[in-house]
Amino acid sequence: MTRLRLLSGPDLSLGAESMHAHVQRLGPPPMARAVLLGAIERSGLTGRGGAGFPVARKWHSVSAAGSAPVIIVNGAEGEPQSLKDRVLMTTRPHLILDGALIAARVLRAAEIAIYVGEHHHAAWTAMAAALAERPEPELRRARMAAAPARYVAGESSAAVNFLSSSIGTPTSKPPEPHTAGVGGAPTLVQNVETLAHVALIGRYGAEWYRSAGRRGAAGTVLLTAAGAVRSPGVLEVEAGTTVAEAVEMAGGAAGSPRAVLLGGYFGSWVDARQAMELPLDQAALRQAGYGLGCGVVGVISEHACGVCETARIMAYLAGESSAQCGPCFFGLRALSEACSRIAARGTNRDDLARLARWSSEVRGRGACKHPDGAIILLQSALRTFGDEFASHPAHWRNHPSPAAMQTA
Amino acid sequence: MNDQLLWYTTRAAGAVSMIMLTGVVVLGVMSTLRATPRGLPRFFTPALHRNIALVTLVFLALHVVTAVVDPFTSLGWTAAVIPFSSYYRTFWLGLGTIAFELLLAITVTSLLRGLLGHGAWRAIHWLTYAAWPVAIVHGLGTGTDAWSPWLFTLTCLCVGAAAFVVVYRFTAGSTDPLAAQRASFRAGVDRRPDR
Amino acid sequence: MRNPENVQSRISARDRADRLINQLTAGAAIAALGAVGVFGVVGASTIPGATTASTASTTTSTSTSSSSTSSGLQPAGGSVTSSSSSGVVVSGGSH
Repeated sequence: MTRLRLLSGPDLSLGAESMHAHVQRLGPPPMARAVLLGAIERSGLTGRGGAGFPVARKWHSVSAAGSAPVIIVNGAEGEPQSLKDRVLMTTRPHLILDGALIAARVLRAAEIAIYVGEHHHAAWTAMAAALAERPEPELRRARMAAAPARYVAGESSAAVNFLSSSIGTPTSKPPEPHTAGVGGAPTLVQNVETLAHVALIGRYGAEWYRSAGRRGAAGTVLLTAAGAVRSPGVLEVEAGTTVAEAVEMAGGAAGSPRAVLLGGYFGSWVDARQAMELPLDQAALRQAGYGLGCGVVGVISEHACGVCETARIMAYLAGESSAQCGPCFFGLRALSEACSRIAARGTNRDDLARLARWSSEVRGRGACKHPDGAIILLQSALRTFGDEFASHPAHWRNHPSPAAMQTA
Repeated sequence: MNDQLLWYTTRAAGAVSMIMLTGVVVLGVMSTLRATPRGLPRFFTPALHRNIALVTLVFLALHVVTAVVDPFTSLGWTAAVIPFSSYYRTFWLGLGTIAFELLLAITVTSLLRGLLGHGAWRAIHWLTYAAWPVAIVHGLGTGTDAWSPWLFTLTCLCVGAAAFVVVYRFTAGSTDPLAAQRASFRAGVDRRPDR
Repeated sequence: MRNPENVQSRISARDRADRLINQLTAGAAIAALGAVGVFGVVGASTIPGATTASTASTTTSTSTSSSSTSSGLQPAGGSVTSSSSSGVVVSGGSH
């Protein structure tokens, strides 16, 4: 059984841990400044928002920009399958706020904003209540912002745009948020889980952080186990835990697994046999050509249809386009329609050719990375479910198959 | 060979160039409006615009060459490239030179659009809105036949057609095919307090 | 499935459009050439150019009011109606 770190403490069903209990359990938040940045660097902590970018390097870029930065605590969690950020906010809000405080002090931030999904009421209440309990001036000045319930609203440039102008559309980069973000100030956009790890590294140090982990990986990771597992939900595992081990921790697979969607809708489909051996560690997954993404491990069984699932996801992603550029709006829509045609009416050669051709035409041409994420998913689906795509029977004559992976 | 031949040819070619250039402008505006006759693929209007533009340049070249070579006007080649350098109707001819060079720049950048990139191409193409009226004014100012009833009528028709499409284009709202969807998405994520 | 036919019909629609564009372009070029001829003639007959000691004109003259037939003392023509000549006083009376 893995030692819990972020999720250790009182039972999660008890809700938010109060400030008093938090300080009693873990002690007050750490004070030092430059030392902390060194510890974060040595820990090798990477971001948990999906991109997996090294945290220390990001903080260096923000501080190098010169003027007083803004810190966005990103709890938007636009990924439908992901639950980890909400669970963390609802049960351990003070860990997140400690992390934000550390970032504010290290980077000498002028402002902290806490960006929570507008429909995530429990998380909002917990974070607001926790904020009210804090005595520190940086946190007393902090403000909450309700992220619109769209997939792209959690993207860092959308968060910046929302805090600057109250409109949550992604913007094209350059400029990167760390150069010019909210109101033109350099901005650090950091996922809530990442900040929670920072809070513990600040107290116990980099060596402590690295003392957890399997197969050469360091630290712990929050996952959301979804789909054909007996106990879907949020788990904290040591980095380097295999998918098979994580599925066991989630009660085991429900039915014989066919494939795993690793990393959420912007992740990749992997054949189950290969997936089960994969270690859940950003570096190792990158080497294998995948990524941890937002930590969703979505299992589908032999009874589910990979083609139909992919078509469903593509339709969702196409619908979430912000319509700011042709390649995304028209390209993703065309790809999604071709997928849906195959799913609903059965395989045809033209649509398969279109999927291949248009994927390579659209990739890299968008104003943001939304189309790229969808295309990576689609290409992994064509690889993993190649046989199914090539021989998919028409479903429209029968009843449509229910979604194999429920959204959170 | 009648020595008036060059003179008549340059006048006629000028008039024809004006009509064709007006057609090119109309097709160009229709292209930005993505207006295509029913049943035809969307590339039809821009492709026709491009073809007619190239044909227009042939007749424009005919107009310029016959004007320069004509002994009656004795313009010399400098007048064709340096505006306001001719002794003959300096100002009005100069306008013609300017229009010609604008059109040349627009053509060359269009042919090299791949090298220049979309932004530069688009910026220079906007000069069309300057080149066409300058050409019209050049014709009215120095065109021998310009105020003859036949050509004056044709000029008015051209001006009318171009004015109509240009006014329509600029009052028709956005021609961006994504404008509606983008606005709709934006409205969905807009949380400004005054809305 | 109908899909191969759809693709085929789109390809032939594209071909038809291409042919139409070429036809329209050629038509415009020919019409323009013809217009140069017509405008040349109309222009020549309405505003003829200055004459020099030259040979017969090759442009056909459709109007009867061409002023290019007299001797060199006549000034260069400017309008269709016969202009008053210079220097010859027609009216009676003595100075």
